[in-house]
Amino acid sequence: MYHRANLCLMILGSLFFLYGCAATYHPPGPLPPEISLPQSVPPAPEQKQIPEPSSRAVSDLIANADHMEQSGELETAAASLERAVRISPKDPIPWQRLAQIRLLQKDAVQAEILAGKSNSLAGRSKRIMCRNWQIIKEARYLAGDVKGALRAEDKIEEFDTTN
Amino acid sequence: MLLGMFVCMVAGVLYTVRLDVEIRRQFEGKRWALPARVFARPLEIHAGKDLDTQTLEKELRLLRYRKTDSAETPGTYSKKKQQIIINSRGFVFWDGQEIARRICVNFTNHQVRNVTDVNGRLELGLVRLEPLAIANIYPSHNEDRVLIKFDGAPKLLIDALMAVEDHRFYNHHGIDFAGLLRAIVYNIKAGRTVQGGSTITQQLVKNFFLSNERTLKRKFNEVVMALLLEWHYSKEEILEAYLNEVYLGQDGRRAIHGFALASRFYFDLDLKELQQDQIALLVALVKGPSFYEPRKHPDRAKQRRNLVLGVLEKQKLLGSEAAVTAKAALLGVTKKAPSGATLYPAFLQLVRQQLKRDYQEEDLRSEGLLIFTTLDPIVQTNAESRLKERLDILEYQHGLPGHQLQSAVVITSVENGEVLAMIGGSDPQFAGYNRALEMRRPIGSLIKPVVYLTALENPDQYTLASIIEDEPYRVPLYGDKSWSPENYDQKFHGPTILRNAFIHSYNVSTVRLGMGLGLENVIKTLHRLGFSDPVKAYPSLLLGAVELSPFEVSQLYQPIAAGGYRVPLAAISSVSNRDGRPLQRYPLELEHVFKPDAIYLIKAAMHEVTRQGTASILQALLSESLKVAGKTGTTDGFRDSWFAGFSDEHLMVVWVGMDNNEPTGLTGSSGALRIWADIIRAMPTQSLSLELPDNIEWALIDPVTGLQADDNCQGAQWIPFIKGSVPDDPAPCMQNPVDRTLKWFKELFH
Repeated sequence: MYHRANLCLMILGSLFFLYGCAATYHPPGPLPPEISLPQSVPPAPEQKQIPEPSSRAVSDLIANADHMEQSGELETAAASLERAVRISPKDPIPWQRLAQIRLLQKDAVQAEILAGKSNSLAGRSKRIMCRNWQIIKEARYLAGDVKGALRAEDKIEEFDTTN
Repeated sequence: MLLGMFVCMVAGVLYTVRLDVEIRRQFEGKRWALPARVFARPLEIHAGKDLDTQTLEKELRLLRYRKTDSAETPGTYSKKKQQIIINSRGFVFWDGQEIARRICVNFTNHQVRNVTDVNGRLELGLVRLEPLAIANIYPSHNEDRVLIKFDGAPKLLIDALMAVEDHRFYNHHGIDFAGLLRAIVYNIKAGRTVQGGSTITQQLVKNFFLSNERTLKRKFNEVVMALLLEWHYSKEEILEAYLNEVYLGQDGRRAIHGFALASRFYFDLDLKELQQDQIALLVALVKGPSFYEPRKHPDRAKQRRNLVLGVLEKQKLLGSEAAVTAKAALLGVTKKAPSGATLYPAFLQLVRQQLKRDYQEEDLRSEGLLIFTTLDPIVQTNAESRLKERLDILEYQHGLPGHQLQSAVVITSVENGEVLAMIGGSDPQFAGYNRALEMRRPIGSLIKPVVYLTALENPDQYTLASIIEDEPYRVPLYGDKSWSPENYDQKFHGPTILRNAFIHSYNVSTVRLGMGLGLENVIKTLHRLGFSDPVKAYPSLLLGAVELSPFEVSQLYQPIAAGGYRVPLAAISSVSNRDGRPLQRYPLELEHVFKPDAIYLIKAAMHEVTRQGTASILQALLSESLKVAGKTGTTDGFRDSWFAGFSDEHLMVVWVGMDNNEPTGLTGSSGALRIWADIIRAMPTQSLSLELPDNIEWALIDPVTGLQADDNCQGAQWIPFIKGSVPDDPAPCMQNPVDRTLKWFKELFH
């Protein structure tokens, strides 16, 4: 009898507790269950991949761009990177290198946009995103946007600490 | 008397000086008005590329490569199951030279497995084939010419020209009196004119500076100018000019000048690829291109060619065995001259339109500019074939009069906005009205992504789960006039979530949403996406009563497909001068016009259109592995059928309708969508992958209430939200926590 009364109290207590939590309801788990996954549901954030390494062709073009950059032929380097973008448009690295070239050419606007584009394709690769934010920071300094550059610096620190 | 002689001498000197100035100015300045050459994109071959043997062969055939057993000479290839060996011609691109070499391309499963040198020892990262020449922009007097350097001319050609036209070229100073006498004697012996009396220098002067009139003054000028030319310039310079200047044929209004162009015109081959008998034929033509025209007068041409071969044999420039073989050879000219007109008129119109921004018309016609464009001939020709086939089927299925249904197609690459293909009508080669560029039609429901994107940018007010009433709605116009939009199915659907109103393309709820957002805001979105013309703020705009060309629609959808980054659609990548030095590049320049989160929502909704909405037929038409997004559009009375859709890699806009604006009975789904599906199915493209921005989360939603749902809610849908905008409240269908706990306990005790 005592045992049963205790159990009732526990149940009531649990219900009360649960009812209090129910003001905001959270669906179970971050991922929609497998069975009702429509094709449009993206991979859950946990499953987000680091972008695949660049293909041989893209690596060659990036290496060529490096070479051109060293010899001061920045527009030829940019053209090489645009070829890489054409071959592998979802690879964040050519976009990032293109942003770097534009920065060297003192084109702050394109440098920031291209680094942002690279970020949008970087998945969860903190290394790529950190480098992009560095480009964005430098581009903002170049454009005289000191506040914006400091915000970018905060982002870089965020990546540094989470790395 | 003396004075008279003195005056004559001074006059003669002055006249000679004038001729001298003229000669030098013309010879050293712009020697020829050269047409601009327009090139397609070069095909890049690398491991992992989606390319099969048939497609590569198609490209090689377009580039006039000949299939042989072992690809021993440049311009040939051989094929063996999953391997193609190419003996490439090489090309000097402004950003690097692609050397001529023998390469081996190995395939596996419709992909390039690797590219190696022909011994298979060295793996090559990336090979660019030379770009296909797709058009010429001719000088106003319609002269056509392909320039060659003296060093680039085959030795036999030079030898043959000397032997036949000017035996003592290296020994005279422009006029060859001995040669003239010898020619007279030779011709009398032969009983006909075999050798000309004029030196090559004289012939060049005639072609170059003088008219055809036969007067003493002209002859005098010819002699003086020939001497002056020899005085100023080397033999090689004169010969090079001759090789490029000599008139060798006529193609309608187009005059064929120079041996390099003649080689293409008669044999469809590069000069350096010609056989001995073919070189002899070209030399034979110098005497009279129309009299010996080999397509019209093959017998005359062959006789003259063999005469030239005979001279070569006699002068030991050709072995007797080789001469016998060459004399026996067929003429080898192609049946039809390669057309001087482009096969891609719609695309070329776009190229010219974009060139006009930076170049004067005259420069385009005379400076010999090399224009490198973004056209992908494989994508283009594939789209043309699919379009023709499908238009026939649509006409048959819908009982439409034959050959009246018109269409336009624009295919671009998503990320860099390059125009890969453009078709301006049901007959793609017809260089007339270009519907892809010049025709503006109401876009119907293609406007809806613009309206919904405007809403979704404000997650505090709108999400894809927001409820919108699809009930009778009256928009007050001016005075006591009003407008009541209707749905395609003539029904009202009651309260519906934005996602469903969008994917089923409900009109009434869209107008209600758009009026709530404000027409000015929708127009702002239209402009941010890239439509630059002013738009009047009429409510009917919300249902697409705004006229755009298929090309303009492509620009509108590009930033959506590319995650919020807009790039002006471009047909030209770079322009070089006639020597290949870069004049102008059209670099990739982006604008960040929308945040990735709102774009993600609209892209996800457009993907749902192709799964469960008005374009769900795509599920049956495309392979399961190819995911795409898009929107259908149909205008009043079925006058315009539109589909605009994209994969990760390609964006394609298709329009179908009649030129006279008569109804076709086709919806976006039953017309344009079918063409779109046929084309995309036949081209390699990357399936849509929605990169999840950091601030997007998905939630299960009850479509009736727009509130959070669970498995208990029938028809619940997973919907993406900008973080913080997921509705807080649970839907009534959802098991409340008390019931769920009780159920848990019940299960525990039983």
